[in-house]
Amino acid sequence: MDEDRSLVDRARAGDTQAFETLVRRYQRWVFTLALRMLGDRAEAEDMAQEILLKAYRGLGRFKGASRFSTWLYSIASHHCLNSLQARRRRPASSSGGAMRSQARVEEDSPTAVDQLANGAPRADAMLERAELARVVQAELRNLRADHRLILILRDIQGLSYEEIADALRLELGTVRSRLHRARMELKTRLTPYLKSE
Amino acid sequence: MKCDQVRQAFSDLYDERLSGPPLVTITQHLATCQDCRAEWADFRKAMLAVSDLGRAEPSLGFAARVRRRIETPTRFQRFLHGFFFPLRVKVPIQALALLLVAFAGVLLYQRSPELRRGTDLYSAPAPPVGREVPVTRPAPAGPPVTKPPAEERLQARPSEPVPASPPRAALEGERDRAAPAFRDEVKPLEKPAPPADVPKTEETARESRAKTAEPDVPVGRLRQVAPPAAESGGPAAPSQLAPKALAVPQAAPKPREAPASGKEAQTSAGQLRSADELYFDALADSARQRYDRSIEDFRAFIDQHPRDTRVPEARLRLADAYVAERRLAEAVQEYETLVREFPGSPLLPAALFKLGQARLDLGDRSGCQSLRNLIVRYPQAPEAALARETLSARCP
Repeated sequence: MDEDRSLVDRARAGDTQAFETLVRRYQRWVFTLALRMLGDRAEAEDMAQEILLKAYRGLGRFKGASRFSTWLYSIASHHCLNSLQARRRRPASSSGGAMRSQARVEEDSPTAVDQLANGAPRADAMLERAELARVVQAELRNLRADHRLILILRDIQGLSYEEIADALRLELGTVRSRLHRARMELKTRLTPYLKSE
Repeated sequence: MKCDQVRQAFSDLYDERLSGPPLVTITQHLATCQDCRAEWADFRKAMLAVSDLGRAEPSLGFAARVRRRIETPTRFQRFLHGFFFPLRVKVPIQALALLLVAFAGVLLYQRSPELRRGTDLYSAPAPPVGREVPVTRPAPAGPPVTKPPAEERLQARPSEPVPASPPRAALEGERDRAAPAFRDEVKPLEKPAPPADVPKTEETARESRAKTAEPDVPVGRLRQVAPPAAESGGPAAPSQLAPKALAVPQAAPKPREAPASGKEAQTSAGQLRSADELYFDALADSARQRYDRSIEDFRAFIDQHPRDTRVPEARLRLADAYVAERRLAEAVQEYETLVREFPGSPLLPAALFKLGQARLDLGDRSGCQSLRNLIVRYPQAPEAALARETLSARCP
């Protein structure tokens, strides 16, 4: 973490190389959050770039009271929520985006497809997992944005309750209750697919 | 513990946030309740499916692209940079442009008379009329040396274009037309100084004007017979006077033929005198029984302003002055001219009566015929009664 601080200090002084190092360190996390929130790789890349640019321009406001990762998670989370709210205000583009997302969900399992193409063993199981991933991604997008975000932060990104509370500036109890409701709703939605397995 | 309470704790149970008695109670309930156990199994499967999504990698070169976007200046930054940098080039260019704009502004100001006159109007300390006062008043004895104001300004500023003067002339013309009272104030500036032997001509003129406003003898009598032209259209017709007043400073002086006296000299210098001045001066002289001067002024008035509406009255008074001077033949000539040239004038009864009397005084019996004509043509006129008396007395 001290390494993050020194990189942040150098980036704040105009060292773009230092910021690129920070980007490499956190790009996977930021991109995953964007991808799971949006369901589209291209859009997720754009959003991830915007998040990182926003972080770079806001480096002056980073006082070091918290860790850089927490600060970045906070920026990323709020940017995702704001972007989704803005998209919801544009019904035409959002419907188009939903269709594109539905089509591209299948692209979000490159590992399974690649393994199938390579003739890997247990091809049926791989296909089933890829199908399940597509369904999970699709059902994730049917959750409320704040529920979806908290679920992704906890169950995919692996943040603790405390980190989520810091990033979203919420009480721990609120995080706990929202996470429970999000999980139960997703479980209800996924149960038909899980029963058929 | 009820099933609902157990299922509410699934999330904490999954995250291993339960411990102690709650964990024991829920574990025992799940061991005994098949439905809750199935629900718990579905819950775990769903959560595992979500976890299996895992993290995703962005495309290759993502970090480099982010860096490039960071290093690419924004549109506003590009504008600022392009406007100011490099300083060693842009600053001299901008300074030069500023100088050019300032130079163009000065040039525009110098080449635009309207702009200059506009600023002169606000910055000139003294009005031009006041400056002209001593200039327009000619010396009493010498020839007129008055320069027109426009000419004076042209000499003061030779570089100024000629069209600078018309607006002022037009302004003065407008002033004369619109405000006779103002014209009266300007009039002394243009009037030549009176000669030493004629005291206070302006005062007498004003007095005579006052007298024309009141019934008086002989003027008042004439006004009873017929309203004087001064009332009917004289001073109240500034449109006829204004062009003459304007033309005075610019017209070439036409000296009268061989002025014989101081009064004649005044008249000669009086090219600048207006019709009003001549007429009222003549009236004033007549009232003061200075008939010789009155005759000169009336004569000058008739000669110089033959189209003035007061000419009939001036001719009648001129003839009266001749009568007063006992120059009856000239008086008869003037009465005859009046009767001949203004047959419709309201002054005609008076003119006929006086003509008859003058002829009779000369021993001319045709005066009786003039009186008869008066009685025939104007039987209701006051002069008709006088004519009857005269006829009965002098034309038996």
